[in-house]
Amino acid sequence: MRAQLALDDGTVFEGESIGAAGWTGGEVVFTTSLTGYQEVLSDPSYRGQIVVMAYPLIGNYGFRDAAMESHRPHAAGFVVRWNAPAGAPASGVGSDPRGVDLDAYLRAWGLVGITGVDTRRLVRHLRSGGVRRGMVSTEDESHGDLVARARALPDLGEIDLVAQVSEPRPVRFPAEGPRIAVLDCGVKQGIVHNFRVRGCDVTVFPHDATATMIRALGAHGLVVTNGPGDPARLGAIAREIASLWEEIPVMGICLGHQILAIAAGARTFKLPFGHRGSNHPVRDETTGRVAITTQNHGYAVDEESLTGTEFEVTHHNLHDGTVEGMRHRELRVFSVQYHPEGRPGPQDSAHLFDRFLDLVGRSV
Amino acid sequence: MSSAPAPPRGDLVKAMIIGSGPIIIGQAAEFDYSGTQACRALREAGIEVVLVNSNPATIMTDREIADHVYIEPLVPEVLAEIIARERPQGLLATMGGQTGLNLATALNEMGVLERWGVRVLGTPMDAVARAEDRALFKATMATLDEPLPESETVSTVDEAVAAAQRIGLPVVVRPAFTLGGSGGGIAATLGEVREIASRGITLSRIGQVLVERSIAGWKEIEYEVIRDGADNAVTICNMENIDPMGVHTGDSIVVAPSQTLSDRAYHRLRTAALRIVRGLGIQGACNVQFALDPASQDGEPYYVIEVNPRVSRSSALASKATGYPIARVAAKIALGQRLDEITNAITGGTACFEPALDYVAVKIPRWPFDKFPGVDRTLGTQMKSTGETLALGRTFEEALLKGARSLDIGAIGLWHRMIEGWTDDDVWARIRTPHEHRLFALAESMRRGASIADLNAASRIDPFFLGAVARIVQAERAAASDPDALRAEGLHRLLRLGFDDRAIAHFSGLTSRDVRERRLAAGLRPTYKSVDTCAGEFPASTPYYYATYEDEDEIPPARGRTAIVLGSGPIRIGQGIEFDYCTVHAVQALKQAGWEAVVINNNPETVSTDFDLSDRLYVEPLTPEDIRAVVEREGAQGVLVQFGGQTPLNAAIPLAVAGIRVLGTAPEALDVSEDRRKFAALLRELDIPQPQGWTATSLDEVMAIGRREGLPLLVRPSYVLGGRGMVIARSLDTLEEAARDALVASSGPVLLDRYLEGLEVELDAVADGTNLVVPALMEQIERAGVHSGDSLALLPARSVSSETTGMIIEYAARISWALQVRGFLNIQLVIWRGKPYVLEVNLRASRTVPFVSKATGVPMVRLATEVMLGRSLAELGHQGITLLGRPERWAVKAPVFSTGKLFGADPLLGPEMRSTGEVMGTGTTPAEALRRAFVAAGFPLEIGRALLVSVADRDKAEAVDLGATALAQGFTLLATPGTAAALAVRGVTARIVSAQEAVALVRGGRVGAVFNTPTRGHRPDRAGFALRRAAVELNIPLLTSLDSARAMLEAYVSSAELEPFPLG
Ligand SMILES: Nc1ncnc2c1ncn2[C@@H]1O[C@H](COP(=O)(O)OP(=O)(O)O)[C@@H](O)[C@H]1O
Ligand SMILES: Nc1ncnc2c1ncn2[C@@H]1O[C@H](COP(=O)(O)OP(=O)(O)O)[C@@H](O)[C@H]1O
Ligand SMILES: [Mg+2]
Ligand SMILES: [Mg+2]
Repeated sequence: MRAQLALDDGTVFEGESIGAAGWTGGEVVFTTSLTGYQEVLSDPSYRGQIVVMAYPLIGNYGFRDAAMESHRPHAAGFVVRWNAPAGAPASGVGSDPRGVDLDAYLRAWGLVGITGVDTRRLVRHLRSGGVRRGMVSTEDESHGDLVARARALPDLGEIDLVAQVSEPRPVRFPAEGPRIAVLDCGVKQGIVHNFRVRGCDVTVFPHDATATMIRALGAHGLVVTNGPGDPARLGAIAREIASLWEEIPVMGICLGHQILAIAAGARTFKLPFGHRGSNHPVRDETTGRVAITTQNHGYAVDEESLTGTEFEVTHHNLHDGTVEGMRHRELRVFSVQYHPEGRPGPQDSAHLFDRFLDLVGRSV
Repeated sequence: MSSAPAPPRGDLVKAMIIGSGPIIIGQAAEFDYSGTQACRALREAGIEVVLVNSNPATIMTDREIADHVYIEPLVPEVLAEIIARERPQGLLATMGGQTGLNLATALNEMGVLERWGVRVLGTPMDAVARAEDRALFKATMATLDEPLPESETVSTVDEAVAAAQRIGLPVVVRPAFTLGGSGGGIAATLGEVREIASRGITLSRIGQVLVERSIAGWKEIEYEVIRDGADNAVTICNMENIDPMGVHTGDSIVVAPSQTLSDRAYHRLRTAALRIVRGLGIQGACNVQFALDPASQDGEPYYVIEVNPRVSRSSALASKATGYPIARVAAKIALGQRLDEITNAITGGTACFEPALDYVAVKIPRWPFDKFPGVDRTLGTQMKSTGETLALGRTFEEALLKGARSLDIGAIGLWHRMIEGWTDDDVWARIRTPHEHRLFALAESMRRGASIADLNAASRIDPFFLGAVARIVQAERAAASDPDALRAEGLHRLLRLGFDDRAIAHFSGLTSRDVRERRLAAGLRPTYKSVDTCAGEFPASTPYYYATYEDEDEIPPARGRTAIVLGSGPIRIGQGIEFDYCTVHAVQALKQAGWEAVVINNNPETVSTDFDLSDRLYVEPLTPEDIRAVVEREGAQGVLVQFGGQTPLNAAIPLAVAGIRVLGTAPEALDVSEDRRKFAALLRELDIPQPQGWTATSLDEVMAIGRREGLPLLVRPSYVLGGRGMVIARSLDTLEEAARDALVASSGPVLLDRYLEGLEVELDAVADGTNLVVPALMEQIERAGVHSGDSLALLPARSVSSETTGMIIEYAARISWALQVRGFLNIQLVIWRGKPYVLEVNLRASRTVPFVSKATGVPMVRLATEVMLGRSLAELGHQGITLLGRPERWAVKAPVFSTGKLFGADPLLGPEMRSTGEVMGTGTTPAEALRRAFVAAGFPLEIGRALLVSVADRDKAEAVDLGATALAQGFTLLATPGTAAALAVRGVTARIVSAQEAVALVRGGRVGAVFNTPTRGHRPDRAGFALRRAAVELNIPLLTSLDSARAMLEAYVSSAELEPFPLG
């Protein structure tokens, strides 16, 4: 079945349908990760976005539950070049059906996708023109109609995406270690996992949890997580956090880092096409060491706006010099724009979880 | 030895770089690429570079690349001498492969580095030792608790056997400090353990082997890692071997990035790679190899296989597969720069990042087996391939099919003519035991109905890859049976899977022309995408492209007149690095002449596929169809076919037919030189003598000719897949035998030539149709009958009378006029009874062009290129027909063989070329030049050592003088009974040894050199064969022609120090 992808700037890409039939709309973004297609699909930060995989082969090592970063895929749609099943075709030469392929996987989740697309052209288009609203449809509509529908889509910034992905009720994973409160703005399981393997007693709170609820737990530390959308909308969360960081160590990751900046009184801005991939070099200005990091964000903290706040910049991106990390001058509060948990991506920064637990340790 | 980090820029003024020497299996052009990049990087930093390499066919030994170039033997004594003269403060040893590393280790142990205060740049020697010495490595991995397969390091055969019993069979036995797994292997029985261990212990520089649990069948994964002195480390890419553990990575089909590793597994191993590299203390580039349990989901369990603490074949491949210039960056790190201080030449951003790919890169090895009748074609832990191809595609299938095409072995898709002869057993044998043709066997087995499950069980190859092959075979079927497959959409699907017109035609029964027309009618042309290290995330200006069928094409509009230089593809015997040298110089000449220079080549090891050499680089197969597509896209003025060896020359006619302009000598003329009949006619017409020749279609005919015309005759089939099995028939038996073989081997008739056993002479010239310039005449030390590529060549010729020389030049002129040669002219002649006969003419750059250029200082490639662009030699300063005056130094080209690595191969000289590389030695006398060449070729000889002589009856008379000379020069003689008797009669005393003793003495290292000529025809005589194998496997000088033996004695008349001599 044919499918098309239309962007709000009028560009249309032809391809074949993969996954569910029908149509889907969202902000079209690309990631350059070579592996981790399933982690990408199930990362809540992609809520409302149609994800383009720059790497052309998808599905090549199969699908499995352990690769899920949340209970379900969140991407609004999926754009790939080549559905490359882990095994042989179900019928015909060498036939030997094994595992699920991308098509079956997307179908199972009712996700609309398009394959056979010149994804490199699309990536280059988004890189030079910036991210765009787009529609993927398997229905046969004129280019014009589909483009019009893409233009009619709301800007992601106007939607309360965090509320859509945050788990409604607190969940606790009891253990002997320090009690860590995780404020779920769209948390990836990798983050929870990193604290649990370090023996922490982890409680995941919904995004709208109040400082009081977190105090009630007697948390030794607070982690503000990644998530979708425009941080500027999240002033409420920021206020709750600001009222806690005097008391307990706070670590911000990705969206969490941006929320801390807002709490500090700084500003964020939207990047032309974001940072999404597993190969972003970040320099820790305090040590001079560079780490290769996983990134997935469309907004960044405005360095200017941090001057005069109680925070100082600790990390920069080597590619565009944007802020990748900051810390509070006195308090035990720090944050990074990237994903120390990887998934997909390198584990080079996993030590940040230990650094945070050291801070926590001193307060336990 | 100071393991201190490289000195701060500033107090390092002069640095020495060691090249890797001649091309041998396991060490090919990749080190010319890395060495050249390193030279450039150092000079950019204002450092004076001293370059040493014995291989003249390299770019790094060009005067322009380094400040002081020494084409000298790569032995510690000579290097010590050069260090004493040049006094470099730094030594960069990690660019010259295992050779460079071993030499640095030796110089360090000899105290040379300390004595002259030479710092090792980049990875310190103790880190090298930690990675290279199996025991140290094991200890280091233990401290990092990185898992190694259970193993024991031993230094005797008995210890090896005991270890194998403790570990349990099968085991892998691997020597320490060797190259390409020399002497390694998997042993399933204790007998095999003994055999492999004894070989390994002798081959290992430190007499050590590792006996290790076999994990054959696990996934084999490599990571290319770069670390700087400030401990920043990145992985440039990882690579997955499609052939699982058990097949040397150099012999595996390899894909980048890995395809069957989950994100968790990919990063589990990446993390391990970085820990290991930090633990070892690498400062620069290195390669980490892992074995991963095929059932693993998260990257465990895995084992560490080895670390190469230097740039390697793999890092060259990784550079070309990603666009990231590993050697260049490694060299800057060696100067003390931090990764984040180095810029990524491609994006202008930082070099401190990890490339993202948006294509698949597939490497396929090319093996030399076709040159060695009866050699074992199966693959194991010891590398056997001579070269490799790189193919890029947007699907794995596309890259695989382009790779198969690039091999230049006549594959059509994954089909090959040879398959027709295969029984089901043949097919499965090639799948169960890794084999040169396993890829084609896999496809064939699927055509015959095999299931992925069975194939996975038999080969342990991951179902993902088998599935891709299945999709290709399924598409073949569609092309054959489904009419839709040949309509627009269907064609598009086939093309996107990587099929070319020719393959679609083959499977559908259409002609290539039909397919092409349908394709163009459907508006389907390849688009070209650029390799930019960042998957399109950042603007990049790399002029490095590959073809694929997509919407967007990224080729910028050409700015000026454009010419396309065709490279030579994978390195193989007969078509080696020499042609990359020519390709690179042609590009430089084009640019100097103000043209846009475009290169098409698919060999990832070479300088010509370095993205910053040409104006645009296309990594593509070199078939007429793929070339044509590029020419059309470029709108080029023409193609240059004379630089890349036979491959581009073969494409010339089809390209011309397709209406593409071939610059230089006209395709029709090229055809005359290639077509035996037309060529013979031409020589007759020009009244130029040639050996009498006959064509016979039956055995009777052959024998009749043999009886009528008399022997010896040279017999060759008119056409054979790869290699032609040329044989010299001196007796009617041999003639009959050879004729039979020839008739089976080839569809066509048998070609017979009168064998003229005279002095072989060769010349390389540049002509413009009117003028002709010959830098020098070369004479082969071995009489005709030994392939010119395998014989010692002396420049200038010393035994050709000026009168004969005159005739030869005259012939060259006549030929160049008759064929209106514009460009190169290579002529091989034999002088017989005082008269020159022309054996062969090649209207292209020959193997010897780099050697001649370096020996005479004449920039032959530049001249030839200018002529092809339309200038006359007169304008270039070469009016008329000229043989240039003799250069001030004598030069000798010596061949280097890799036969030791090819089991069952008989290391005999003959009319078929078998050498993989060459070295050059120069001197004020022929003897001195010869000695340098012998030493450089790995044939050192101390006066006083025992020479073992065992020759065929017809050589015995000659052997006598030889023996006498040897004794007079102070050598002692050992001889097998027959030979000894012949010597004794003439009063030359030699100790008599039986054939068995002879072999034992050789294996025991008690023999300085072996002079052996074969007793029977071309079929290996048992005793002689054993003796020759023993010699090559233990790197003991073996001379199978009395001419070479005589030359060796001439070379070793004195053993005075060799004074290193800087080039220019
Ligand atoms: N324990 C083992 N079991 C099975 N195969 C092995 C084992 N160790 C090495 N090999 C195979 O042997 C090849 C050569 O071994 P390696 O250590 O890489 O030597 P080299 O220095 O020649 O590269 C590897 O590429 C791998 O395929
Ligand atoms: N008629 C001949 N008499 C003596 N030697 C010959 C004759 N023809 C060929 N040879 C030997 O065989 C070698 C290879 O033959 P050639 O025609 O040059 O094949 P190639 O194309 O492989 O170079 C030559 O270098 C020469 O030594
Ligand atoms: Mg290896
Ligand atoms: Mg020849």
